[in-house]
Amino acid sequence: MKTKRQKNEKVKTDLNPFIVGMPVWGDDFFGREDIVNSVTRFISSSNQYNYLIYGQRRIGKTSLLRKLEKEICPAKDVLAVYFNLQDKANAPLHILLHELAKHIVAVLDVNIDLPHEIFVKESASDYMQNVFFAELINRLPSGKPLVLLFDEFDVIGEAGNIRDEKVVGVRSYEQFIPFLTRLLGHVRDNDLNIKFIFAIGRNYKDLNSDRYGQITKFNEQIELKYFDKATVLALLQKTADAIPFTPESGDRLFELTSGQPYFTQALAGKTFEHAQEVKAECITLEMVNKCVPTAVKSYAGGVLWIWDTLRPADQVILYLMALSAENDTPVSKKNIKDKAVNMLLEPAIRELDEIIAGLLNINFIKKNNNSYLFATTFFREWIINEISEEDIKRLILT
Amino acid sequence: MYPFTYNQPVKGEDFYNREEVVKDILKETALGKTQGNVWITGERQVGKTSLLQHIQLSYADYKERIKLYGTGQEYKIAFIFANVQGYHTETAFYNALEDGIRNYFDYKLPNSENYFQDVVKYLYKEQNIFTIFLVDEFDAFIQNVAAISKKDAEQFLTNLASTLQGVSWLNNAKPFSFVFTSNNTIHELMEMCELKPRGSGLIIESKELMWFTKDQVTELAKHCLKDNEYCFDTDAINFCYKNAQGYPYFTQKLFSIMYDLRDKYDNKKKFLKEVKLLYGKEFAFTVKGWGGERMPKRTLNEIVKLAGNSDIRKFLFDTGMTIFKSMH
Repeated sequence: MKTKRQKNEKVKTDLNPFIVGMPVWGDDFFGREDIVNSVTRFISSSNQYNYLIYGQRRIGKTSLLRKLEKEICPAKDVLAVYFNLQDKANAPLHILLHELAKHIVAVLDVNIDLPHEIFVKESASDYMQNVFFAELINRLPSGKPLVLLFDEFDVIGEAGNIRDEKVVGVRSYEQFIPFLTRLLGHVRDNDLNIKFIFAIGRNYKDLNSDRYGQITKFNEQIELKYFDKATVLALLQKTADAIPFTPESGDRLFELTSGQPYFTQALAGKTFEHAQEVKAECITLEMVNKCVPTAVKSYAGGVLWIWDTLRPADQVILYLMALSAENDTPVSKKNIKDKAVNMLLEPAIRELDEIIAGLLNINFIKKNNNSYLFATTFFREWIINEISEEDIKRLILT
Repeated sequence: MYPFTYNQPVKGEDFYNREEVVKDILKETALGKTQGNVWITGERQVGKTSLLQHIQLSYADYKERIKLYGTGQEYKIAFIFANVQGYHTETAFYNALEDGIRNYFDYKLPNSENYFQDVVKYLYKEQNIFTIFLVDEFDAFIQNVAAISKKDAEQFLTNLASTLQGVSWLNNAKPFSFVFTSNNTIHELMEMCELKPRGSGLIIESKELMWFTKDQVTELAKHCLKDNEYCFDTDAINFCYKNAQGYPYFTQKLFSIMYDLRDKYDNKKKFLKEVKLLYGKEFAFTVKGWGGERMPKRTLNEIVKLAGNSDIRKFLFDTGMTIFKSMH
């Protein structure tokens, strides 16, 4: 049995086990059994080629794709290649395809020539579709399926919308989706053993079907949601040997974050740090409450991108909700309207019913009898700390 | 040797009072499990550059090895400093990091079109080195890019967000972490430049570089004068703290004025009158030099508060700034 001194010394040197923002896998990956099972069935199926994983920003899509790449697919004797499209949208298509081909060849360690002269302008997409993938399949161990995991797929599809510029030329945001559509058709028609999994940071119904076309007819799509309570409590067990969370503190942490993965890791991480600093024997409810402002401030940057996925109208209503009540108490439509009038923000509430319905649909708020609560207190705290009245008034003006 | 430093980064054992911040940065970027990135916000001359340069110099010979997440392999750590204030393009940004690497390592790779990728690959794969880039004045760089093209600034940030999580040219490995300094938070910077980058966003922990506490001001005074016959008494330190509130630049500045006039300290009334006169002029001169009302908003807000707390308000009239006219 460890003495108090031994335990304290261990605690001082114990790494903070929570990982905020970076992708996780292995022992650090919690929950998601239903999704893993669904994707595993897709990978093992025949006649199914494209699968979509969607969800809010900072929900764990990249972690899931990396887990598929590193663990699930190898366990099923399936080859997997993860590719992030986020920084590729503005590149010409032939450069994206060259990078994709090089990456696939490097990860799978196959010897395929990628002649530079092929990857210039229009010839690249024909080469990839008609030659590269066929040659790749020939070089892979017989019968082994290949899964391509495309992350941030919506970034490449939406880049051309930014700043209302006319979309011209052969930039990837113009040409990659038509290329993928043709490739998918080619894979289906020739029964190639290749599957595609796409991840997007929004609701799939928001994908513009004019731009995404046939791609939106996914064989299956699944939404990544917040962790349930059991998963959060399992995650918090990571500190059990060092400084354990009490049952009350675990409950409180779940209450504050509703299982939103990024917020959960952020608050758990900061609370553990604090517990180490004060040499606590266990992590209490009071410590969790105390660390909310620190966690919100430390990880405000990541939450900004979640905020930016919302429409201006949604942002204004969430801001009014955040200010309408002391602490995290339910807010009625009347409260929101009164607040808007007090702040001279009446234009914001013209379509209040529709906005509220939308926010409920995308799980940013939840219903509480005839009132509404933030889905996560953490997000409410972030709004109060980070968003100013000036920011909101600017939104109304634009 | 003059005991106080205020117009250049503080070096060596004169770098003081930031041990906890340095430890946090090391934990977040390398020693902890996240192995992520850090954004340091602070007003002008609060010590951001001193902090980064201190880390690079003090940890130049860092012996501790780390295990990179998901690899099980051990890596050495190299800290590379780069100031990106004067640059305007993504290419120039990575050229600045390349220069930092060239200045740091003895061995050189031949120049190539993708030198940054080549050298990082070499360090990571051949030398087992994990690089922590200490990037100073990052907000100035973003503002420069945005001034020319907001689209380019957004694209740079979108690309950077992807890079901070891993790079396809190393099979999605993450061979580096970044520490950025800025006069603004990420949100403030995006608002100022009217930028809306796409994608997953910057995965980064934010830290604010705080002003010194009163105890730290007292320790600073003792440290700076440790080899000196002279020392400040409690009244002098209280006076300094009251007027500078622990703002590192103004604390050092005020201490230096008080030190220069130390022979007049016996006549306290006369001493304080002269100090206030000189400090007031210096304060106003500094404020004008930092751009007056055009200085970063965060710094301006703090300057206004500082002036409001101090005995030097009347000197600020000379700055010509509207905000100070109304305080007079």
